[in-house]
Amino acid sequence: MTTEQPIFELENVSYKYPTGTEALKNVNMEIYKGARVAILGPAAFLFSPLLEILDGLLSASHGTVKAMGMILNDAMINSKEIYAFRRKVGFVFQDPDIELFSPTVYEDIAFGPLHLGIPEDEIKKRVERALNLLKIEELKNKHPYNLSSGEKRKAAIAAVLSIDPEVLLLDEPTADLDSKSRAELIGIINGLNRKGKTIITATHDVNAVPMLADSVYMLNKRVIAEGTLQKIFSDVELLKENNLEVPEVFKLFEVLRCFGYNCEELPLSIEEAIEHLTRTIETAEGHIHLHIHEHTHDEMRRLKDKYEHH
Amino acid sequence: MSKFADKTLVEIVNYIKDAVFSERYATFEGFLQRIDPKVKFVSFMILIVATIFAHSVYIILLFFSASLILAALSRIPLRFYIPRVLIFIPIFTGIVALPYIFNIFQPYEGTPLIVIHDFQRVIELPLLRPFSRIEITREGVFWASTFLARVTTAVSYAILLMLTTRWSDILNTLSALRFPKIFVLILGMAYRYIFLLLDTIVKMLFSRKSRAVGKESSVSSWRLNAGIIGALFLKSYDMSGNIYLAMLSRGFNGDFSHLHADSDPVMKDYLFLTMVIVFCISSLVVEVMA
Repeated sequence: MTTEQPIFELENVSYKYPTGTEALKNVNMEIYKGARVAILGPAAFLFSPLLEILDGLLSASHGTVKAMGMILNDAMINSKEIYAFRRKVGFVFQDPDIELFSPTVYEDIAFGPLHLGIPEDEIKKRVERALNLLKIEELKNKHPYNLSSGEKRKAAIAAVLSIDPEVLLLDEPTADLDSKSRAELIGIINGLNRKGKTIITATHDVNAVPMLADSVYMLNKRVIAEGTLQKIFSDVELLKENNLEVPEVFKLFEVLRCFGYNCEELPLSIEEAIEHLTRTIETAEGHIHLHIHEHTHDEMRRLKDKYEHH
Repeated sequence: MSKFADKTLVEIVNYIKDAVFSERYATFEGFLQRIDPKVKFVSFMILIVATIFAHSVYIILLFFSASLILAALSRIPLRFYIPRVLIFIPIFTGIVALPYIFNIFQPYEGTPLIVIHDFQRVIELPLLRPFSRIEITREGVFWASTFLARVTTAVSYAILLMLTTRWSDILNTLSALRFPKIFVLILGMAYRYIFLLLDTIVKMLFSRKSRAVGKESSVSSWRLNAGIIGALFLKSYDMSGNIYLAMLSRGFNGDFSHLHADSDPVMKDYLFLTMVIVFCISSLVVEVMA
């Protein structure tokens, strides 16, 4: 799915708030076209500057940001060329109330394409497409104030999708959602990725990460770890140090391993777990053999200590 | 904050949410709801201006009756509409108009209607002579009641316009009528966020109430209220910055654009406008002639 040239390349990027507080320090990052990347970290306030830098809203205090073939610096951000960039990158903010400032959901969804100079006929088609994709047609004439949290979230995503960006930056997309809306939203985001869109998700929701990403950058001012999900979630100590947890499915399969369940690579999501179990059942002729051996209790105790919260 | 102030604030927020944000009546299939928003806006502006120009109480009452008829034709329950017109605004206007019924606030000698008190024997100083008698005058009562009736009628049209038109249509109308784009943008955003912030205040009050035990002293209560106001200011400041970023992210360049409305006025809309103009002119002509 990935190509050679990264679409985002950050080299020693640092950012300080106007108050002098350091938010990012020497961040290095490479994101490829069509990738699903999660940015995981202990504090939400660290995500916002990074995503805003990736979206060309802020310029880094130090370092180089290359994005979609452009160098995002102060001059570029304030030039007219940035509008070509805005057509390619869409940013869904954490708080949907920030995204929905128009009198109706329809106008909010039309806002992006309208201000990016897309013809009105095309805008109407895009708005209808976004409403249809998010299944929120009935909300189009509603005032954003009258929407539930889940509806607001979907409307905010539709407002960005109408731009038809190549890259979607998502700040905590699963926050405040009920389980059904969460599952729906994850399905929609993955559907967009299958259509070739690059998905960059900043989140604390470790259980959503396996469903939303293939690789992870762990961020605590600087990049403290990066790699595949297996690599990141296997380092429980590092996660603990950063107030993060291991996905529940991962924990369950580690317990199952104590009982003799045979798996080298632990599944991280329900889908992976189902796939794993199905494979095991098929190869074991319909049976999964679990047993308690002499070390099981010690192993269980070790796991309990491992996952115990600080 | 006192229980009274708490309740008032919560009720105001709930009232506005219910009456304005639900846009309940704007979606009804009534007479005014079927009129093109642009034509309706212009017609109501004409009615409001005509009301302001009217001097006769009878003509003002005629205009008020017209607003009631329009409300009834638009399927707005009068028991919902009239209290909203009569209670809120005239109460405040009444406070402004009330002093003028007394002779001491009038620049002219009026015909006494009721003498409240006569200080003549007590106050002999020439400078205080105008205050030696406090009375309600016929001219004062007439002036105050005309003023009150005029404001009430003008407000009744404004409320009727708001109740029968979606807010988005009003903003689109303002854009179509070439109101400055920045004015329309600010109006739209103020409408959008003021109630979000009011909601935040209510939540803060509730959270404070849920943690408060016993009676608060006035000093501590006001200190906490100042904290709430400060927190709200910071929140709104932070929010405004983020909203601007969200707008920039979606291509905003300082020039606010609107989608063009799908519908244009048709014959029935122009007919309504003509009827309004004829009604206003004939009423004012009758007043002048009488």
